[in-house]
Amino acid sequence: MEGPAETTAYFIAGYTVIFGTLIVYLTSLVMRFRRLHQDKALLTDLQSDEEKASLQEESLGTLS
Amino acid sequence: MASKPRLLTVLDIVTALLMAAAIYMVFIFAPMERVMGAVQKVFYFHVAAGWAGMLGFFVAFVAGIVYLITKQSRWDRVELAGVEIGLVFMFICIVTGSIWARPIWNTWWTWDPRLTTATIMELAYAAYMMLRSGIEDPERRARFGAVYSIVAFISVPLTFFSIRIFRTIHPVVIGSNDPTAQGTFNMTPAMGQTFAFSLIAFSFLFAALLWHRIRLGKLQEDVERLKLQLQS
Repeated sequence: MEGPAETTAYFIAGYTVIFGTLIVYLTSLVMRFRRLHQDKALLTDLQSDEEKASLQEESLGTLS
Repeated sequence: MASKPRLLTVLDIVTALLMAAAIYMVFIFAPMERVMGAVQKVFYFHVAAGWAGMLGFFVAFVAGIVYLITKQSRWDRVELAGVEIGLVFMFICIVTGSIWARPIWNTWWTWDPRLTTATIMELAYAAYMMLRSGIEDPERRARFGAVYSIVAFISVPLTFFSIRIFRTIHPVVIGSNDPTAQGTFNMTPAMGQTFAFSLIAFSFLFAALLWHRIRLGKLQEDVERLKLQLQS
């Protein structure tokens, strides 16, 4: 009696696609999280700098 | 952005364990099918990915309806997350199906009703992403996206039932099978357990990814708001 068909290469290809796609998607999520966290930190710093500058301007105006 | 919720950490750990167990079941526990050989094992994650993909589109459909009723941006985030993750899983489903078909049907692709409807579904949701990227105004983008996700959902039941309605060579795993189907097999108990476990593991994977993608959307919104505040 004949055994099962030799399809191991297709099995490997199938699971390579499955794990490869999931790894690529997970990496893209992590990268986007990192980039947005960096952007948010930068923007928050800029905002607080602007607030400080406007407070200084206000106090200088009051003094003069 | 709030720190990562404890429940999400628990979900991540449970998902990782379930996926590891599912991989063990597919590679070691499930027996080799007598006719198709090793490629039959692609079936477990192929169907599970299709299930998770359709789940994503269903989430987008519900979120679209809720957005149109409430106009709350959080539902737009849920909708986008559902579509994005649905696209990833459906891509896996279509490509692995093609790989399975090569030795079993002797072709990488055929315009069978299931394959055709699944491709239309994938392309319809890819177009959703393009539509969104072409609209600047967030409120308009969310409204158009919501309507689109509701209309595009027609393709999901059409794809699901295509193998039950039309004459097809695609096997039906659960329920009656078309006599012309090629690649059908009877599941042993171990195969059935592996199949069920894979569906559960992928459902958890879907939930974890969805939650992370929603959080990413919130972070994106925060950054956009800060940019606008600085510009004004």
